[in-house]
Amino acid sequence: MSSWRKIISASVAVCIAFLCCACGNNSDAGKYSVSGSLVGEVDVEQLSSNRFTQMDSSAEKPLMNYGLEGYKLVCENKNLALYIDEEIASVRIVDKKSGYVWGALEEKDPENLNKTWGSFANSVLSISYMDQTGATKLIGAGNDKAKCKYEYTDNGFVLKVDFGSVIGIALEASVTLMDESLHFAVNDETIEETGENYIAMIYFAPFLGSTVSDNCNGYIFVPDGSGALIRYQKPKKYLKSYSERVYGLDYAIDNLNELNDLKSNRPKDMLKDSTPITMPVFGITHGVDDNAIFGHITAGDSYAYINASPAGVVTDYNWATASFVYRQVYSQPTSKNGAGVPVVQKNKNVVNPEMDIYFLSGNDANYSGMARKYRDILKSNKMLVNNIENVNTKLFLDFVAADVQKALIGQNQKDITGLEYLQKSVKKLSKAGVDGIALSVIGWQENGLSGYKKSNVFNSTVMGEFGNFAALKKQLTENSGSFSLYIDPLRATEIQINSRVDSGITLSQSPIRETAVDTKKFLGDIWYLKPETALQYLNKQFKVLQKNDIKIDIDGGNLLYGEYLVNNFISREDMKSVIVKAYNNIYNKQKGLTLYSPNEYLLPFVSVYRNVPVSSNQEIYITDSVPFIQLVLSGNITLVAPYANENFYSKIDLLKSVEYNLYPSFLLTEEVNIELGKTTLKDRASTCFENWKDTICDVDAFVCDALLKVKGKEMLSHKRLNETVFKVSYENGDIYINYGKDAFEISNGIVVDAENVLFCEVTDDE
Amino acid sequence: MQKNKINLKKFFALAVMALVLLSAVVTVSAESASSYTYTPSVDGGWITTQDAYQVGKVILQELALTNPQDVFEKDGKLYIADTGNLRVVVYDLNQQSFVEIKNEKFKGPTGIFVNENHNIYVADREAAKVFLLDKDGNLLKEYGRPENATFGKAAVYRPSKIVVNNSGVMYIVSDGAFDGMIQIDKDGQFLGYFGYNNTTFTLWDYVVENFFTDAMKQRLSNKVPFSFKSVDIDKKGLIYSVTQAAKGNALKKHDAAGINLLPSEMVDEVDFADVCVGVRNNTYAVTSTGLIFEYDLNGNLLFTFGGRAISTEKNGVFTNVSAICCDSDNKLYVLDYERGIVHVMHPTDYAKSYHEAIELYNKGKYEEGANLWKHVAAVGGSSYYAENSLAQCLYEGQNYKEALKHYKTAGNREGYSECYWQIRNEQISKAVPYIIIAVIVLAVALLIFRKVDKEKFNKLFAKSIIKDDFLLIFKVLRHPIDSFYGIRREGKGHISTAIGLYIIEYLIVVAYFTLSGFALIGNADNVSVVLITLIFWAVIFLFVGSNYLVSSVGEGEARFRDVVIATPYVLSPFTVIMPFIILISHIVTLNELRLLELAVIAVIAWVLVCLFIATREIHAYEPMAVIKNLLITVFLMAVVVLAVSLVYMFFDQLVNLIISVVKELNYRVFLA
Repeated sequence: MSSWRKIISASVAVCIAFLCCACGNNSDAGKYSVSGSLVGEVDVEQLSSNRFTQMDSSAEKPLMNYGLEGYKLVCENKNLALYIDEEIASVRIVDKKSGYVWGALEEKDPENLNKTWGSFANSVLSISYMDQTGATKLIGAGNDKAKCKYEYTDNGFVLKVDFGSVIGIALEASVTLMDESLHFAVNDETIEETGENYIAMIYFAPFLGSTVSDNCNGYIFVPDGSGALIRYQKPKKYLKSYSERVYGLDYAIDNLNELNDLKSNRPKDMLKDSTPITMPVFGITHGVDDNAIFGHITAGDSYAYINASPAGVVTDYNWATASFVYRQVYSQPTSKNGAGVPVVQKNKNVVNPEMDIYFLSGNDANYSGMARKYRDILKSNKMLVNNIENVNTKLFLDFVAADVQKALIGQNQKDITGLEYLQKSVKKLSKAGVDGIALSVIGWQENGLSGYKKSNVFNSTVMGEFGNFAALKKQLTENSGSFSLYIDPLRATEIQINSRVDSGITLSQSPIRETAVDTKKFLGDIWYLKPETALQYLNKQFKVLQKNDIKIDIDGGNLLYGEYLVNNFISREDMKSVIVKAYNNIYNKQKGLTLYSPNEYLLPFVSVYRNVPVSSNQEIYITDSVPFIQLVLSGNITLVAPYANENFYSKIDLLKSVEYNLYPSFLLTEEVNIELGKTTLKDRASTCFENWKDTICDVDAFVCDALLKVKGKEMLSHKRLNETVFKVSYENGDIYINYGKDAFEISNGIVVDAENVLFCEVTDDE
Repeated sequence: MQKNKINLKKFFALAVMALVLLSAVVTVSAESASSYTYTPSVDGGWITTQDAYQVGKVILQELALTNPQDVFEKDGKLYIADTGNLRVVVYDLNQQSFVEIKNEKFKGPTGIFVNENHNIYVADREAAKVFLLDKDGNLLKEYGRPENATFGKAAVYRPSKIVVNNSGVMYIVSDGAFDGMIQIDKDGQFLGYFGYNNTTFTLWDYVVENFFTDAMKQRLSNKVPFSFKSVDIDKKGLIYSVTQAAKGNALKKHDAAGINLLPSEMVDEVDFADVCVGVRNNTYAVTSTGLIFEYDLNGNLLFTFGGRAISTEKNGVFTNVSAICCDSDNKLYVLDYERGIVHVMHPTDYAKSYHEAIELYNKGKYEEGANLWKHVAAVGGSSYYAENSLAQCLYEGQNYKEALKHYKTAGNREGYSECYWQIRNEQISKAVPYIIIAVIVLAVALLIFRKVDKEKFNKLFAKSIIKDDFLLIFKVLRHPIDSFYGIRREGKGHISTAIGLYIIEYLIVVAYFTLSGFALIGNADNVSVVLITLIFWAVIFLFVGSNYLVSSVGEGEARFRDVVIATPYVLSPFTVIMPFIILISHIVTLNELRLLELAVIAVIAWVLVCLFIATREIHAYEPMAVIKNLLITVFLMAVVVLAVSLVYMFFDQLVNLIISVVKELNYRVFLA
């Protein structure tokens, strides 16, 4: 037989064998014919964690006893009186409504503090300063080394303090008694630096309202996550106290690289990101519903820290205050791998800090009262407006259209969800009775979520022309829904920008870049764009979308960083106004705006607040999480929880959604997750719509039905009634949330079922 | 229970290059647990999945524990060996109250165990004793160093951890005891050593063993096995241990004879500090850096979570962990000895579903198990464990078709193969008529082929260079000596066809790695075609270049042309046989795969023989010269690779230096 024949016969034989081969068809791998919801049961013991609000102490404990001996009256009005002890530069404030006296320390020279700390604590103005190596020290105006001069006015005084020739720093602070508050301010022009030292931070009355150990009932309130309490406890060992920068880190100065010493075989990236502070406030209570102070930073917030120190960190005092940073130490890299030398910031920040301390008593002297006060302040400053009326949506579904994926050489686009599929999905949900869907498409640009060029203006999407969305939009709006496209203007992966042109520049003149803990992660590093450039790109894209009558949702509302290119720098404060202007424009033109995690200055332009924190960041000294953000904003802004399909789908989470007035959201794809392993969506555990559709219906039915009863109503108070029941009061009634396995009787015959919620409307008689 | 064994070798290799996980852009919520939960993914790497455990309360802060080394849970009470304060603390979890047990004989209690009668065993390393206390803390008995002769005078007795079985036999982990755990009965009699760690045998050990003198060996051989770090016991009396620095088998489950029942290549860490057994015999191991690993009863990893508090202290991450224990609800108590506190970790719905589904499988309720696994897999994304367990349940429930699909998704070749075997039996019986038809068609085709005018056929494939050159491949298989002689002496083969053959061989190599059956190479998704391309062409270029250079120095007769042309023909066995292996790999199970692997080895051997003959013929070498030529060729190839790497490294260093100088200058001159 010739060779040709051999080849042909062998090939035919193999083909027959191949025909017999019946490998399973794996086209629907990753989809599971799951019927029913994925929601489980409540684990009541979780309620004792610091992700939930705890009950107030029932133990009888005395309040603080700040005497007025040695203090002289400076001024007073119908609500407050201000006293001063010039010798130690310390103030006392009398709340006339309750008669309670507020001060820093009970004694002039307490035994449990050394002289430096004693003067720092008692003073109405304290600073920290650093030498040229960056070594930092604290000093108060009441310190022996400092010379103070007082100029009294009708409603307060101006303190001129010179910290002595050795330190070489002098400045002026004004303390003014307002109707309900004490106002602190420093004008930066009064700060003089004449010696070898630099001013680092300013503190206004840092220990005002401080308590010792657990001698007194009460807590410190900090705006950590959704809001957090640090109840007074006996001194304990902690690594450090709470000191968080308002609006998060300044990416252009602060070190972004997370320390990690896990010498593990498994991935080293273990810690979830903390939610930065979005509201520049803090508070302290003495007693249960007795007395409280509430601090609000009114200027210099871009450079502010909220500090709270529980007993056990350096001192046995619980104290909380705001501080304002003028200079900090940053790392000046001198090698390619980023290693560098620590350098003190040369020019000081323009801060001009101002802060109000409000005095609350009775039913206002708790976190709910603080939230109400803050809401009133925001409303009176027009920083909070009613943006809820035009919003009818209640279920927030984000579909990812495309992403970039690793290819043989470089990357290519991976289509993840098709337009037809979106329409089918919405239809399925509508059939199941779900309406009010706010559908947003993520990664709609060419190359998708982490691959599209930030500088490009897109005239079409990966799903087709903008016009193709008309049917879907109609389908949604007919059922009280909405349609929008997602844009994250400020952050990018390395392939999305030309780093020389677009990247922001740090104080050390390198691009602003956050390196992934796992260096092998696909497009793991995050680059931050020059704010102005980014907003220009955003504006161009917005114009195109507006022509096509498509709304946008904007991510990164909590990002605020400077741009420090030599001779052309934009400070953090400048960036604030640039962002406000850009977002205000978009808000006005599209009549409303969905923003992710907006900071305080963006609140007037927010109609939907995405990714609202549902707990504190769980630092070890935090005892409770409270819905502070929710108390402030509910009724004026629609608040949306983090993605339910990422650790927030259990029954306990749904109950918490109702407790915290948060509408549900889901991150979804048409594609199964197994197929997304080469994209940047690899870390998203489960997003396939097929797997979640029943759960979406259940979550909608449970959460939205309960919350629609209080839609547009302001939240008045929040309280834990017992081990398992919470009560949240609104203008039109109360919602009771029962996490327990047993029903709870509110009053005669009115019962909240186990693991359920109940709305009790307030009647006119009540 | 080998069916659900993770393909650990593959797993390990890929874990090293595992790409992780946070996506760059969409906001990640930081709710619920403070740390990510990871699980092995179907592609052999890691994925983040839903939180498996969430921290509840952080307790014992008010007890001011100092350097506590062990914690044990029994009936709602936590027993803590408060080493620094020389006491044992009993904390009532329901009442949130505690009592302390002090004894002047305590010198540093490090291990604690409580038996069914609530008697407390305290291992005290410093006192070199085990103390037996009643539930009120009264001293019942002390167990000092065993006095039996069998224990040996040189043996170390520093009890650091202890467990006790139902008969009262103590298993004591003693610091510095390399022979295993010390077994002592309730009367204090030494029963022997229990369990052991193997020493590792390295290349250096081999050299020492075979080439050194006895005196040198004695001086050098200080090799001792690792000693155990901690121990726990389950309800059946099986002992679990962890050993530090024992990579791959840091966690062990010992049978009555002390033999390890778990696989020797597990996904683990070298830093395990403690182990505890859960209610359903799931095992938890924790590293001192706070990474918690949960395994099923066969040692397969379910989750890993937790981590170290570095810049921020949060609930659920730890400063330094010394011990972990578990209660009847699978709640974990993790002891942070630096802070002197215990974090209580609660299983989430997700973890509970895992536990329940495993239980259903173990009880033989496969249908219910499969349904629950579907739920778990739907929530958890591409988790290997969920996908594989779902496949197992379906397989046991005889739903082979579905099981096959999930085994393939999970990348489990063993499971797939078993499943496929079942399906193939069915399919072969169905396919018999088709095979018969096919054979008839083939026979008819051959008959027709024979009847066709051969002249016409030959005209159709006119005698051409290409035809001759390609047929030479088959000639090489039958007459290698003639063929290679022909290439050198008779001018057979052409550069153009050689290039064509190189390309065909390259395509076959790519096809082998990407198109072979699942049983042969597993999922092809992770294969980098770019890498294969680079390696293939680098080897070809290096070989041809090196061989020509070496032979021209070594008086070889071949021209460069001959080396270029002969090389693809050397690979003839590969070119001819490999496509068949690739095709057949789709219809074999793992058992038959051994034959296929044997075939692959045979092909390689055949290629080597061809290489030898080719070198001999084209260079006209003697056999010894051939071997010398080939060895020097390989050496030259290695040298070239090394040289290229060195140049690359030097260049990289130079770039780094320039960047550093520029940055420093920029900072000193312009920014200072």
